[in-house]
Amino acid sequence: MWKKGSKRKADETELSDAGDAKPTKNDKAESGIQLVFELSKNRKVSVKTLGNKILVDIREFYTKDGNTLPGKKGISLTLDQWNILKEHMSEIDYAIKEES
Amino acid sequence: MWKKGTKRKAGETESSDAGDAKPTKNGKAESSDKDDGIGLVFELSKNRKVSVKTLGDKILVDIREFYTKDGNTLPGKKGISLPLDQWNILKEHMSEIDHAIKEES
Repeated sequence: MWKKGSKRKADETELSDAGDAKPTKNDKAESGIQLVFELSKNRKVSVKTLGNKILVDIREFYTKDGNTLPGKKGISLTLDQWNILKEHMSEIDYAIKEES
Repeated sequence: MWKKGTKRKAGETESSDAGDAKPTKNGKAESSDKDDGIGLVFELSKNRKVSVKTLGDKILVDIREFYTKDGNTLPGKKGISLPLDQWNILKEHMSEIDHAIKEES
């Protein structure tokens, strides 16, 4: 079971297409990571639980002594914020298109 | 290019947004699309915004906290700028994310 989502094992870097996040779904009360996937070589998105809160975390990671650790560059979105982001998804795509 | 407008609320100070060194042009970038500028801004919360911006050739989706100083709203350190490929990957996983959230709720 993942504890608090910050320390990860070295082979975490292999875990790219996740859906197979290791934590069991039984311990819902505990903090843990429910989903992780890579955006790039050193950026990941994870859905994690911290106490009662569910967060969508978008973050850079770095390697130190063989461990993959979360870096400072990133942001954890609460569910409200994640929902707002989703609502604006087509608007964002439109703006991107306009800029391309 | 600029029809959509930013979604800034009244009363929010509009100078120096989103990490650009130049002062903003009062909510709308007059730039042609090759200039650096902000294409879209909306709030996620009182002090968090998402913006689509151009920096040189790159288009970025920036998700960031902002803070107020001396009446100016400035981009904070907490946040991340996603280039298009990362934005696309994030979108592709949207339902997976929602599913994981649902499982936790």
